[in-house]
Amino acid sequence: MTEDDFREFFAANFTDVWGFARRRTDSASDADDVTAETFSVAWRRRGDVPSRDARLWLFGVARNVLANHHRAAQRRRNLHLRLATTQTEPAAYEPDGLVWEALAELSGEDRELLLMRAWDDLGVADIATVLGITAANVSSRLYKARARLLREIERRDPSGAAHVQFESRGKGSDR
Amino acid sequence: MTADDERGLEWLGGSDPVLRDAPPAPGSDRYRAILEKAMTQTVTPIRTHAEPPAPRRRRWAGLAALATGVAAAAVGVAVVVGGNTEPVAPPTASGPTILLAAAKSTEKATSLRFSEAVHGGGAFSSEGEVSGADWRVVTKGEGTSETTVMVGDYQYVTPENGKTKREKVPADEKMAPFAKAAADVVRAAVNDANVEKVGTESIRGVTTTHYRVTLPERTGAADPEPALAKLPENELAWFQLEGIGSYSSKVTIDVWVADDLVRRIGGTVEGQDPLSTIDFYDFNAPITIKAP
Repeated sequence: MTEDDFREFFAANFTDVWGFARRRTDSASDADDVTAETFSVAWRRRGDVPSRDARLWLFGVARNVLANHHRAAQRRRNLHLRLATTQTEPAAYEPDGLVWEALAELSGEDRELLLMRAWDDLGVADIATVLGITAANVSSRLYKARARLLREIERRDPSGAAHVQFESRGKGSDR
Repeated sequence: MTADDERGLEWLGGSDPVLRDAPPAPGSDRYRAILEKAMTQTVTPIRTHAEPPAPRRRRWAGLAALATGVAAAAVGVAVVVGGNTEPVAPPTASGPTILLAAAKSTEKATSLRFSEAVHGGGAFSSEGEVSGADWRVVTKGEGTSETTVMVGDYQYVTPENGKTKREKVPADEKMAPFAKAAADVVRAAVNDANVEKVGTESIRGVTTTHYRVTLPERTGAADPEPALAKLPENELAWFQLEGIGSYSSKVTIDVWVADDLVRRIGGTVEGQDPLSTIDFYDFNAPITIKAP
């Protein structure tokens, strides 16, 4: 890959990689850092970038970068405190709060599967490629994760009032 | 996927942070800076947060972190190794044999205490005691303290001068018994890596031998994950090793051993602050963990 090729590659994938990073960091500037780091790895390993599914390959690199990034960001926080923090009392009702609450009840793997599907708009086969597991595995885990999320949301909002609000904010409505 | 399946995902879609925070426009200063950095950066500095996350963001910060760190180990979840796999130690090395023996004895401890000092950029220290699967940890830092007690299926969290909150913890979210977790971490690390003897050091008045296991550097997702990454998260989390398989930098795990027992576990990720360093002591002392 020549320098020009790489610039083209960067332009074609920048928005997706930045979005992937932003969804897993606290701020836009953190997303900038993770994006730069991800493309930096791609630049160093430009001979290894697959011609097919290059975007998914970049997501895989981004996941490694994010793990490093997360390690540094969380370093000062003690494990036990972090564990306790994920189990605080439910926030006052608001749509986001309720979704986060429900998401927080899921395992990390389930959360990441759901977010890859819902936010990154990756299909089952794409998720399987990024995670290096079979599509069948992704499919069944995704199904269970979604069911668990629905149960958790329902448990917090038995009246279903939130459903209407969420649906009105979902993809295909205001996007 | 059916339309009904998508319905659940739509709720999440509305919470996508990118809906509120757009990427830098192509050609903008930020865009160019990122491209420039990508093509010139040879050593990869890892950003550290100078400021703690604001309270409102804290949950999300933790959540995002978990989503990243844990999912990084998602591959390992399908093939959990746990403590039942016999590690394969290089036949000529004595370090692995000693570490494996220490892991085995430590795992048999019915109770112990542990202490985690403030380390690296960390602002928190903690003291813990363990009896079987029950435990009690007092965490101190940032001018406050908090006590977490786990008895059976219930967790009790008591902030400093605050009211205790009791919560039932689902079986799949409970921390693994500490002694088993320590043993599994040592076994898996030995399985993965070269072991070298660093020297002897005194820990709490006991002369220990310090061993260092160095995990091979991973340059990408294609390189095999270390056995350590395949341990359950609820074991790795005791030692802040969640997501350990996803580091591209060199990782070392340090283990101090005396009298066939693990006395301390620590570690480093190259180019970053040290990981937790946890001392183990009072093995098999009469410790009872009670709900507050």
